[in-house]
Amino acid sequence: MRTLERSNPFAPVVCIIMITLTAALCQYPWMTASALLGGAAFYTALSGRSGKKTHLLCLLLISASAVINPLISHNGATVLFLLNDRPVTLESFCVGLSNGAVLAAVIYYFGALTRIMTSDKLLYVFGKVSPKSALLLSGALRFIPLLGAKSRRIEETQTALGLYRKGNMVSSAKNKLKVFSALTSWALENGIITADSMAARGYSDGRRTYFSPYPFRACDVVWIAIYSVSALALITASAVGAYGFRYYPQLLPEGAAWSAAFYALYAAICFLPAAVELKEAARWKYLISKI
Amino acid sequence: MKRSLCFIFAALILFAFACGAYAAGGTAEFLARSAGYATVEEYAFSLGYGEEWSVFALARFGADFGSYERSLDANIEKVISPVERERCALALAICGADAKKTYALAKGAAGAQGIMSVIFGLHLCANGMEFEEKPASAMLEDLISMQLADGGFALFGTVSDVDVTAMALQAMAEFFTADGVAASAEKALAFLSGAQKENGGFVSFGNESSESISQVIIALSSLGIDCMTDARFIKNGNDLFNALNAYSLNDGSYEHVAGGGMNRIATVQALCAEESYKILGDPFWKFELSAPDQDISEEESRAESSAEEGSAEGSAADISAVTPAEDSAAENESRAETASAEISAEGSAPDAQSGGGIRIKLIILCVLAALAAAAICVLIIKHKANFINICVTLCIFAALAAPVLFLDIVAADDYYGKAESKEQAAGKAFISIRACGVEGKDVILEKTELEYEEGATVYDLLIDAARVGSIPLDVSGAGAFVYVRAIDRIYERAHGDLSGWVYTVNGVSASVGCASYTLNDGDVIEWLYTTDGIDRTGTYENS
Repeated sequence: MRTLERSNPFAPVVCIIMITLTAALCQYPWMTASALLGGAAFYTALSGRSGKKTHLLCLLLISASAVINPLISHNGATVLFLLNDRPVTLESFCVGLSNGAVLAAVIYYFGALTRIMTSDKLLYVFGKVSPKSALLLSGALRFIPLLGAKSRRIEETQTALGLYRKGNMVSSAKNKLKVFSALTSWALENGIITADSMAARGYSDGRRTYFSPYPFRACDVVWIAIYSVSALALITASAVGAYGFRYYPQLLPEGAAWSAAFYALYAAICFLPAAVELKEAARWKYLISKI
Repeated sequence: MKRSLCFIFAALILFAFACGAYAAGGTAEFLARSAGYATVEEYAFSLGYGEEWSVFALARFGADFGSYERSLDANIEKVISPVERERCALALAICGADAKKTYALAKGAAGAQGIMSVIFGLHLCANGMEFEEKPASAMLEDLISMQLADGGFALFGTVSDVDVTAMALQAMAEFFTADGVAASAEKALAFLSGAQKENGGFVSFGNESSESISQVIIALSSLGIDCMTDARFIKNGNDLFNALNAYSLNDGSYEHVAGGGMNRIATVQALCAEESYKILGDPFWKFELSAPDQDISEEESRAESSAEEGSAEGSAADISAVTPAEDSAAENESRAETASAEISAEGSAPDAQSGGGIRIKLIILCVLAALAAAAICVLIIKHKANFINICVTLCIFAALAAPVLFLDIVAADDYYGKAESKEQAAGKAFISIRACGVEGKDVILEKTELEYEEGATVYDLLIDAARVGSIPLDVSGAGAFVYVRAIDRIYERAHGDLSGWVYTVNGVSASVGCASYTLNDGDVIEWLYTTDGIDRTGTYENS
């Protein structure tokens, strides 16, 4: 099976939308856990060590959500303690944990998607539907790495000029603010220049056709079919009540004994992208060592 | 493609194994587990002669006591004393044995061996049996004549005993409408109330034991008195379930005396108390028997006695401080659930009011301290551990820890089931909570009288009522802008878009938020769940 990166751009878009949609609609512990772990694995497989900060962000997000939710929502039967006469419940904590985990999973999957979807792929997928928004999206997504690189260069320049010292948290926070101010004015200017240059190339004049070297292979159809069918099956089965999990008023798994099959199916579609990616990486390594 | 399929199957198998089942851990489950049975049903089926109390405790679990009758037949020559014959006969009746056999076993035992034989004789009468030698009315007269001057009862001698008094009350509850019973019960209740210790427990037969507390709970619940709210049986903020909780071990079992370790008899009786509280208002000893072939005359007498029971309930409830407007089994059940949850929860000492809260604060602070230590370790590893960095880290964690110290944190065990201690009561107000549109939640809290402090609002009273009645609340907002989203887990908008909680003061809907309405002495507050946005408070008062 081809990796998502080397497939037709529609494949990763459909796959990741289906995974995250299911995670958001069916918030059951096993599914949330597999979405989170599968997302983290996929993201790490694509970005390697450069994704360290995303892991930290996700961890913070999950813990913040787990702490804040019981303070806001007091539903649940298992009262841990009472805070100013308001019950803090185990169930509410678990819901917070689950919400945070779903958010983190979405961040991971879309983080991976932005690594896969280069601007030409984006234009290929959305260009026919809405060329303007596709261009905007591609331009906006381009800005993320661009801003990172530019801020590093501003930082280095200021350090060389003696304006930036990396002594401690307080001074580096102050200096980061300076860098940020410089970065914003540059970004605005750069945005205008980019827009002008795109207009000069005739991007705003009528319909355009795109050349795209992305044929539809059998493998892409398999990707899209697996994900659409299983997401549809999982969401309908959950809506019908074939499996599920109730958080309120008490944590309670619902549905038939074979609901484990649904969880297994979802875990499979969550881990499949990362597994294929790792398989390809391993094969690449193996082939090199043979030469 | 093949490999990906293999991967999918591997994941499938892994998750199928990983899916586990939930297991509950109540008192009945503990008894079954410790006897080596997986379920309560299996345990009930194994019960034999000598385990009558377990049969009584599990009588309402709907289980099949398959072995008891055979076991009793095998040991029938050991059953000699009148009280034991009566006890075995009652257990036999619960097991669904032939009425003739039950009758033959208990024949001539009523009143033949002092007060206990009278009490068990009355229990048998309440379950449809008739003694030729002694009718129930004669036994009741005997029982009342055995009452001592201070209102209590004793096996022998002139010193009243808590256990015997409680058991006598349990028998009286079944025949509450009979002449002189109400007055006698009132005196016995006064004796029990007077005998209760500061920690909520009792001294019986020379030592403080959990069984006495269990027996008193059964007696009060049979009479329709809610021991969690009745002021006569709350001493120093400790009610009977608090006292019983002190003997609870973590696994659902109970001790005989404090620190004495698990005791089977104590556990079985505590289970009886839990069961009795679940059917608050109905006599514990009046079981729903499914006797297969009884005479028509007996059927009639049972119907009569149950009709008597019906009217007895009403008058039995009259002597409690809080008058239940109507019998609501579902509501009692839900409250008993919280009560039993409290019992099976961690066995913390009931005397230490804020002990649980301090422990929780300490746990949170320890977690924060561990996180701070971890953050500093990261700084050291990254060679960024200079003075200012460490200061900033510590400041962030101190800012997180400060609210924990100043917030009012109370453990659930210490919170529910008792009124907040008030230094100076400014007056009294009545509060009732109803959700008429919700099945089984008609009456969440009957009309209850509560004291309040100067400047207290309707919201403060609601919090107090929720505390006393162990009713979970969900509110949002703060200060004067408090909004009640749910009472007893019935949420706004859960029963239609216009559903939600409204309140009235003295039958008039108030125009301000509940946290803005200051209470006046004698105010009658009614909380009502409306399902269509139309405020029908007050209309239910008369129905």
